[in-house]
Amino acid sequence: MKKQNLLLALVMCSALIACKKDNSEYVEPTPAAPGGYGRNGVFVSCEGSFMNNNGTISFYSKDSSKMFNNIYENANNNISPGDIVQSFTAINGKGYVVVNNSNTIRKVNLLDFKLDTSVAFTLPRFVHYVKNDIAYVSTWENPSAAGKVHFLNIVNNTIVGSVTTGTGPDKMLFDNSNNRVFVLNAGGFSFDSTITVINTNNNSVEATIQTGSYNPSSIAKDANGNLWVLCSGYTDFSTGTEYFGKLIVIDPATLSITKSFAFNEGNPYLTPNKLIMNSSGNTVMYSLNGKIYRMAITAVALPSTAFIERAFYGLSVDPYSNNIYGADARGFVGNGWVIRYSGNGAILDSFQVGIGPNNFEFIN
Amino acid sequence: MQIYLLLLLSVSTSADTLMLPVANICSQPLRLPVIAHKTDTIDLQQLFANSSDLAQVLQNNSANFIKYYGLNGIATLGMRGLGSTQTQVMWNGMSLQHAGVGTIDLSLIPMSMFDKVTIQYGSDPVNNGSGSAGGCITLTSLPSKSTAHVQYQFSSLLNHDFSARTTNQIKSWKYNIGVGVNHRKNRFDFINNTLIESPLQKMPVNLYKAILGFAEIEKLIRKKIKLSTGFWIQNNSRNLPPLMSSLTNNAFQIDNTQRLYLNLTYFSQKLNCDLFSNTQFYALDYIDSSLGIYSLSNTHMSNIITHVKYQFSEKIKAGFESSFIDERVTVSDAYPLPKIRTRLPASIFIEFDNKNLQLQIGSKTEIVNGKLLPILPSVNLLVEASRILALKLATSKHYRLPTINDLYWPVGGNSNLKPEQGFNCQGAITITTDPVTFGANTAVQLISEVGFYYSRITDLIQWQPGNTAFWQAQNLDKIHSNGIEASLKAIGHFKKIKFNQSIHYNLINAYQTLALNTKQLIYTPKHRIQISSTISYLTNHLELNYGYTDRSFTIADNSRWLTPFTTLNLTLAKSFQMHQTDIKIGITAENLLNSSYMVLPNRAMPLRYFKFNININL
Repeated sequence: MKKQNLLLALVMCSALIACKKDNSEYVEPTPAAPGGYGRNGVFVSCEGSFMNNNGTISFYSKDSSKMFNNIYENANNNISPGDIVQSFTAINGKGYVVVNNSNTIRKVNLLDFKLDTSVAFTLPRFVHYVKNDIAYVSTWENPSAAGKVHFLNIVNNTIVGSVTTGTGPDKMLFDNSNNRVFVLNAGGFSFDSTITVINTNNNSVEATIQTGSYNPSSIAKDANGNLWVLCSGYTDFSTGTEYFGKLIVIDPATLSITKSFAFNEGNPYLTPNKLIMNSSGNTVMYSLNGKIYRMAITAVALPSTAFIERAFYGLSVDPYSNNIYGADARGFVGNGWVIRYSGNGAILDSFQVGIGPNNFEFIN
Repeated sequence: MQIYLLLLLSVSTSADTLMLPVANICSQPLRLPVIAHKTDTIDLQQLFANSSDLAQVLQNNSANFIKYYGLNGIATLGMRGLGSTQTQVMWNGMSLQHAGVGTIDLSLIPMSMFDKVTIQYGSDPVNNGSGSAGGCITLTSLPSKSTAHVQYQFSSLLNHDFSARTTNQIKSWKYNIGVGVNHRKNRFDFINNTLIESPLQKMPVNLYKAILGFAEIEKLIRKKIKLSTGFWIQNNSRNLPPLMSSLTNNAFQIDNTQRLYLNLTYFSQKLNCDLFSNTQFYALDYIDSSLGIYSLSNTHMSNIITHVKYQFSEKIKAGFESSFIDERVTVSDAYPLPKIRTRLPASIFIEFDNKNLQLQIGSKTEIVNGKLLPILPSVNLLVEASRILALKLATSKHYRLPTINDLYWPVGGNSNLKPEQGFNCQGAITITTDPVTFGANTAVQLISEVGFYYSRITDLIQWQPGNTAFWQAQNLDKIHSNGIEASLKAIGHFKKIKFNQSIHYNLINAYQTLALNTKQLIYTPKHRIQISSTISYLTNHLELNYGYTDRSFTIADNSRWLTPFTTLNLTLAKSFQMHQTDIKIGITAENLLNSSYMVLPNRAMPLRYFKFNININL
């Protein structure tokens, strides 16, 4: 018995001093891009799967025509930026990884993607640089109630102010001609029908535009300086009632709606989204019912024929080449893909990226 | 270190404690005995490590993989990689699966009221109903002796668990009655690996409160007629554990459960009849303030079962079972109108028992809301080749309808879902030796079972992330699962030392067949090993539970995975008598190796912590 006691004591002592750190979610490593990530490429923000903390950033180098995945994890000890990477914005040699469900924005050095600092926000969505070292950050705060836009000083990483918006503030567009930022209140997990207009001279709400539809979700500026806003519509699941979407055009000077195109009962399952503008600013494109449509900004009716017959979770136009980038999330259960098209809709190539690719950031 | 412990475990010696008497249990409809499926039995009375819920019991005493959404979070079991909706959990002949979601949270099933947990690997629809292709867990009470039992447990997580229970058999009465109260804070240390510096952090308080009332009563009202009834009422409220990456408590859940059964049994030498009815009610409130979700639902399930079995001759029995099942979600903010499903299953079976050979042939079908479902045959065979060697073979077809939530949940429900269909076949070899003595002081008995299986499911229903932020119910075409389930037990004594060793191993190859894609299903570790060891010397007891879990992939293309992990729990206990009262005190070091591990991504699991418990048997 004495020997047994001694053995047991040895086991317990050695076990108690041990601390095994073998936890992690591993990802197959990939080499870093030669020359870093600072120029001539496209960042792809990949959400990851909800609540799994596996959002990633990919970088497509136009110089080498290669896609580099998991660049944040590779540069930062295999640690993911967090849960639901909503968007990525490059500003003055720094990158801002907006991690929605981790309530944080991770600021990285653009060249090597090493983490610089993290700034806490509540359900952040997008970062948009305005001027004078100030970037606007849209945050949901509560997915079913009013959100906020915060004013972030990008030099000292402090929040210098904020304003209250509608529900689910999302994408933003800076109109420097009129010193205004247009904030789309996309409804979050609920609904909203407004656009909050913030005056960038004094960082205060100047106006609230009623869109006449629900859930404005994407915005683009055309060659004439007019703003195109796509309202996705809203379905009330408790009653089964569907409120259809609209495509509207706003004069940024007068804040009036100058054109409106309704997605009505003539089209099945109407949740139009992902409005983009070509690099010339004369053609808008959007996603509807699993297809991409395009129309000239001078058109008087919505197109009936699809331009690209494919559904995308993310869609954007490279302002430098006019190529179209579509992100296919493939059900979020595996890595997604990015498919590149020329401006006229011809497939160029495709690349595997992280889970749930959703947004693109182009850098020259 | 781990190898050292493994060696220690493999050479340690043990006692004759796991063999259970075949006692009557309260109100189990007289179905066919399980003859051809591999089963593991966990005798809770013989364990010294006190497991508070079914998830912990299965985690520590079997090679099954429990999906934990963190401590205090939901825990589910998907056997053979087929998902938790294909694993039945039965109590007194009633399925505990929630009629709305088709699964049950194992962390809400307290163990203080039960004596035995039986794990059946694979099943057939005749005996276990649809939705059991993975297997079936059966909870049993054994009120065969008079006990009054009080138990209290305190842990370093600031958790308190109290239960009291009395069982007795007096003349024609038999009962098992108990109450339980839990108040837990679940405050534990963990390594936060979502942060670059991987700091040691403290989980915020995740409050868990539960109250439980439980009774099973059986009365022999005539010589050949017995009446049994029981209820199980439970209320749980808990903060669901936050994600490691956010650490803010936002989600709160209240589960109210009421279960009631009544069974009238006639039994004679040739004829057995059951008239069994039960009703279950679940109220589930889920609140997530950060996402603005306030969800509540009331789900009812009632059924009436008639079961008749007749012994035609010494070698042949046959019978039938028919049921009426009513499933409904009556109040839900998710559904504008109540969702109701009426099911009429019926099955027939025949059993040949020729000493060394038992053969069961059965068939089942069902009418659901007026629609006739396919016929599901099953064949089970047991051959006792010798006194120590037995061979088992079983095959059956399966069919499972989508649950009400699968079909109608407003965000992610899919009314176009097809039913799951499939079949499985399996075999096993069982070797049970007689106790072998070595001199006057040493005896050991070995029990070994090695099983293999193959299952194929077409249109497996699985909730997956979809093309929105919300998950969606989808059919996965052609899921294949095959593997090995093996166990070895050694029970015996060496002088005054009693020992009971067991090792369980599961190999699961579960994959979806798509073009050029035969990747392992996500959250399905290929290998899992669990070693349990109890050693008693007079009134001193030691129990070790060692588990190894292979990596589990987190996305379908298998390019991301959670690293393998090991856990070791150590319990030291002492039993003694005081004024004719049996008292057992024990202390358990959970996760003795201080492993930092994750069962699901972004979900913290505790580093080492301690539990102290006292059991008083009056």
